[in-house]
Amino acid sequence: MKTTAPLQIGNLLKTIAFLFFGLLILWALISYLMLREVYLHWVLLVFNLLLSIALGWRFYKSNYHTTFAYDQDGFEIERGDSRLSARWRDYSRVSLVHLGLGESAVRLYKDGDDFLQIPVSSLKLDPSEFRFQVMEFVKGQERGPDLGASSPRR
Amino acid sequence: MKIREYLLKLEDNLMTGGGRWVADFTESFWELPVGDTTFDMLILGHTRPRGFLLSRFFSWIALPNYPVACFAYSDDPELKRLSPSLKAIAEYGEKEEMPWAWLVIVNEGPFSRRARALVEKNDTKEIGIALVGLASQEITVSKSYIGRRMGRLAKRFK
Repeated sequence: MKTTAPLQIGNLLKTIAFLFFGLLILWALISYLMLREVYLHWVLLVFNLLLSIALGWRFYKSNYHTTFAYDQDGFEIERGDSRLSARWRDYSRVSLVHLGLGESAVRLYKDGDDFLQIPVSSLKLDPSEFRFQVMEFVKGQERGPDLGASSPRR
Repeated sequence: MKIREYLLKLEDNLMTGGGRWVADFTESFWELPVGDTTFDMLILGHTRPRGFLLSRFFSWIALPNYPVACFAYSDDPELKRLSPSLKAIAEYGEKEEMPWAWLVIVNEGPFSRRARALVEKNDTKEIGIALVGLASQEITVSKSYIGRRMGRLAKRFK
């Protein structure tokens, strides 16, 4: 199986920055309540930064980090603590979705509106190329029913 | 330019905001059977763009939000598949409550004179048709407003 699990720098930095400023505000409040002044020292800032990195890394791993493994039969996707594996033949339609802000995803439709989204931009895969590859995987297996004149989403 | 290459460029152009003054296209299907016709490509969108903060708010209060689509198929210089395709699009539009759609027909060689005349005379308001001849670098559009708008978007990508 081909596996990809790139580090999502943007999400990691966002998490660390959010924690850093959150902890800073929390510390300012606590010190003001206890000492009637906001006590700041460079050692505290370094400690805060290290704590933010440690907590941010943990939060990133359990919420954002995505591992995707696939071959021509099926795939396995793990995002944070959730994990899903499926076969391509369980799906009948493939689409490419533009999510905005330069993010793209490949959607795999079962019958009806039910779909699974693979975040190809986060996985650093070429969205268009990967979409065609997945179409081949899905087509290589049993085709889904003709949708008639109804929406491909239905 | 090959047909696939042209369709990929058209898809990329529409999905990255090329048609934003008309609609926000977000999802693309390839080799999709609709009714009795298989379209090479179908791109779905909505008339309300997503935007960011202020533009999102203004589009939410000012613009209607209905679905639109851009269908595309290829290799039909005599437009033998036009009639079933228009029928399939009309049925699809009715089911999805889609007020209008585009149909782009791409051919590597030129379209016949009869085919171009047929499209030029077409005044269907709900479906804008554009013929794109890649070798001849020629675009022919139907005379409805939607068709004329498609003419600008279906520009030849070099």
